[in-house]
Amino acid sequence: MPGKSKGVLLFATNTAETDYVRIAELNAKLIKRFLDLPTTIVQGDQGSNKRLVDGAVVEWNNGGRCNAYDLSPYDQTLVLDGDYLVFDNNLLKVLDTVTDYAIADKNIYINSVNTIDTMGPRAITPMLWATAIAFNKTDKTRQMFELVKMIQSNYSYYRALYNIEPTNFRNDVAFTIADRIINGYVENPACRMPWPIISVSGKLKQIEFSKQRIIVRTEQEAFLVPRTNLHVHDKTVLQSAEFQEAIENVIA
Amino acid sequence: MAFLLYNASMSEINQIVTQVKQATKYQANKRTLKESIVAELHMPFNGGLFYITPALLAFVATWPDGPLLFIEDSYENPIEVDKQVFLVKAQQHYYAAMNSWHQQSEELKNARKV
Repeated sequence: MPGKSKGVLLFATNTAETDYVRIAELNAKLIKRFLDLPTTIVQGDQGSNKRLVDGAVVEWNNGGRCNAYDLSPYDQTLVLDGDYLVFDNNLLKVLDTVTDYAIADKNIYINSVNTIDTMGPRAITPMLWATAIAFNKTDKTRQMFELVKMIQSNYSYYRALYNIEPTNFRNDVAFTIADRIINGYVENPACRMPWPIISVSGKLKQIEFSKQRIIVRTEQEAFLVPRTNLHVHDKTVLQSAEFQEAIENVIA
Repeated sequence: MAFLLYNASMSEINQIVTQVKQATKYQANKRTLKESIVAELHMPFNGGLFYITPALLAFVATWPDGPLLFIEDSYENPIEVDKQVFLVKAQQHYYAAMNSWHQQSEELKNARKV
């Protein structure tokens, strides 16, 4: 929309294991290169919890996402996970056309194609992904973020009410429940990203870039991915000097 | 003799296992490429976001009446479009995305080993 400010909001809070701010700064360079948008990195001091990632218990700071509406300096905002690396300009299409907000409802794994994420077998609604959210500052969006705050503050209650399996607070769960409530418990395609998030899970050995592709290597395998936005779960590889040098070459 | 036969069959099995693994990765890579092209095939137009498919192109191209048309977009909203302007832009968009898909698909076939 002409005359409206646009930008990207990344939440990054360092933990003992991971320099999330460094990863977000790297992603901000990719965002500038592929979306030509400014990025605001929000560092929070919200309470952390522990999460099991690839067999190791790590500190997890994920509490600030509900404040994205209040904190965003932009009229039209993309809220992305710091590790959702931007390699194309397709998110601009959503940002330019969404009415209130759009959140992803599909996530595919390049190295685990048959994995279907759920909030547990008894959860009463399919899961959405807070990894990427596009929103305009409208009343409906504001109410949705207020609902997320309320759900986060009363997570045990909502977890029980919706039969959610994970015990730790997850933004995905809070946004899923808020979306259900704000849309009157009816599926609303106007609030969905029209394509899936593409993710790579597990421990990685290396991520390389060729002219048109991203090559993701594990110890045993290698996957060819087109230059498309990629959600990388392994933070160790994102913090490596090799990866940071490779990103600098992509940006150049 | 029996030992030799056993060795030969194990070798064959290993070869089959390698081929299956390569084929599985090829299918995984192919699927990832397809999903990324879905995003490429989306085109914003007049405030709407359209998934450009052969069916949509054919529908717009053959719609008999008037220059204006309402088409449902990916958010399930009816969007008013100028038929001719939309068709030209959508055809160009479709061609570019499919061309990219074809090119990358051919490269994938030639890159079974990374």
